[in-house]
Parts: sequence; structure tokens; C-alpha cells
Amino acid sequence: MNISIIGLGGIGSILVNTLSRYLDTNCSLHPVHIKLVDGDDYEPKNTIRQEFINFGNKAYIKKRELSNKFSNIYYEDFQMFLDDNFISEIISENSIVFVAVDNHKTRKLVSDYAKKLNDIIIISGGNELTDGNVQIFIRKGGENVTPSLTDYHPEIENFEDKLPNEMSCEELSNSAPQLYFTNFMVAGHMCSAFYNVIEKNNYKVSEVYFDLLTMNANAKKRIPKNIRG
Amino acid sequence: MSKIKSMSIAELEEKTVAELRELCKKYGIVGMSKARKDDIIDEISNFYDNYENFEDSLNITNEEPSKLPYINANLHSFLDVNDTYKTLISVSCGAASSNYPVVGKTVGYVKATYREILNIEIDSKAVTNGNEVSDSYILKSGDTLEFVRQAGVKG
Repeated sequence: MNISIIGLGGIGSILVNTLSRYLDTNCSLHPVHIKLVDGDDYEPKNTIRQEFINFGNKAYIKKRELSNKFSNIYYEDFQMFLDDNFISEIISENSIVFVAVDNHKTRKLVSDYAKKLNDIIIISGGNELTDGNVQIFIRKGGENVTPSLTDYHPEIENFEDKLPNEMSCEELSNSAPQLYFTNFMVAGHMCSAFYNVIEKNNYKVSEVYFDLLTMNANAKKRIPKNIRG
Repeated sequence: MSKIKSMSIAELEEKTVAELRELCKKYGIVGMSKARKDDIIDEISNFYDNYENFEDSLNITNEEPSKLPYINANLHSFLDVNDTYKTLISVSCGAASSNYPVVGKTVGYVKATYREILNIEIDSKAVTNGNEVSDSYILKSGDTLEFVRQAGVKG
């Protein structure tokens, strides 16, 4: 099983720990190869809501940490932000891609690239301060089984943000406040999506929303707009 | 101090379908324009039952009949009405959802009416039964309506 995790911040650093523990002992899914993608460093300011054991590049640190812990998984680190130049190394046929980034431009990049492939599963999560969502984009045999990340989301299709490697240091440091619990819930719903799709062959749900303040969660079933992408 | 005079099933059965529909209009029961006489009587009877339990908490006077549709909408939301209730449609936005008596209403009307309650963004896409629809789409019994909430940006 080939898995890529793009973004190892508040969501990704939690997600990869939980996912690894599950995959390490689940022999039916072996061999497991996880690509960890992030160009950012884990710094003291991140300790409030991110899961790392050392400071340094997040992909590298996480690979070292988890390789020691989970011997049945092969980890590969990509110490850079995803862009057009190396997306083909990260996203390939029959892979599962977790998108845990903090910008819509990367989500659109991944979604558009996935449309060129025949069989791919994209699980993308995002949040605001106290609510969030997880999108599940599945292609099988060259057709969209669920809507792409942009189908019902014009804010992703017509993104107004930048890739991290296009942002200035000031822009990067001016990020909106986030809550660890909200990141944690997104990661949990991404694991739930993975379990439903991989273990239960449940392709019905295309998006899940949750709200920390009301403690509600709502799964959505939508029809893909362009069946052939 | 009931402000609505309830009728028995026998009294309702004596009325014509047109008269029953007029009563539905008066009580704010929607989605009955094509319903059979028996179904309309069931709906009105149901309305009487629910209303009797609810009216004491409401301050209605005979001079305010226009309040009735609003009260009926609140009544349906207030009660835990089961899925088979024909006049209710599940309306959601993000993690928020509720059932509202909006059969026969347009999507645009629902968006305007429940915008604040469900926190619907002004340019939110509307989806019924999994397909995107325009604001002029008229909701039918059995539809589900979703206003797509924007995806979270951060991670």
C-alpha cells in the first residue's frame, strides 16, 4: 500500500502517528510505504499543537521517529513543499493521499493532478478555529466515484492563497490561531474516512463536517459533477 | 384558551378537498396541494394534536392569524417529528442540520429564511439529493437540501 501524507502540521503530525500504529499491525495491508512531505521545520512555537520529538524538518524528524517505532512500515521523507515540479513523485496510480495542508492552492493542485490518474484516493482535511471538514475524492477506472475537491467548493477551485514556498516569512508567521482539539478531530475523521474506504469499501460519503462547539458531525453524499473528470 | 377550534375527524371528512386545503393554508401546513383527502385529514388532525400540547406556551390572539404559519414551523422543529412526516425537509449546512416545513418553497427562500440559524454563506452552493440546484428549485416532499459550507483552510 502506497500512502502519501502531504503536510505535517497540526493535522498531519497527529494523523501519521495514528495511521502508522494501525498499519504496522495490519498484515493484510502490507507492505506499507509512506511518503512524508513537508518543507517546514518543527519549532518551539509549534509545540502547542503538533506532535514531534525533536526540532528540525518535519518530514525528516517524523521519519526518524516512526521508523524506530513501526518496523513494518517504510517511510520516505520529502523535505519540501508540494508543487508542480515533483508532484508526480508523490502522487501515483493506486496510491492513497492524505492532504493535511494549510492552503487551498495545494488542495487544488492535488485534486487536478489526481484527475489525470485512473485509480486514486484523496482524503483531504482542513479546519478553522473550532470546526472543520474532510473531503474524500475517489477515482476508479478513470472515473470520479466521488466529487473532486473542487467540484462543490469554488473557494478551492478559485483559491486566493499561495503555496507555502511562495509566501514570505512574514506571511508564514502570520497564520490564524488554531486549536489542537480541532486538528485532532480532523485527523480522526481522516482516519475514519480511510477505514471506511479501505476496510469497508464504503464509497458513499464524499465529505464530513464537524463542529467542536455543537459537537455535531454530518456526513454528506454528493454526486460527482464531471464523471470523466 | 385555545385560539384554534379543533374539528373532529368526522367533521373534517364532511369538508371538500378544497376546503381542507384552505384549512391547511390557514394552519401553515404546506405540501398538501396534490395530497389525497385522507392524507390531508391526517395532517390536520396531527396538527390539532400537536397544537394542543404547544399552544399554552404561545401568546396568540385572534388578531394575529398571520402568526400561525410561523408557529407551525416552530412547532414542527420543536417536536421530534419522524422522517415520514411529509411536510418536513432536512436542511443542512456544514455540521448543522434540522428539519423544516419547506415543501413547495424555493431553495432561495430557504437560504434567506434559515441563513442565520444554519450559518449559511451567501454564495453557498445548494445541493438536493446529491445534485447541485439553483435558487429557483422548488423543494419536493422527500428531498434533502444541503448548503455546501466552505472547506476549512488551515491544518
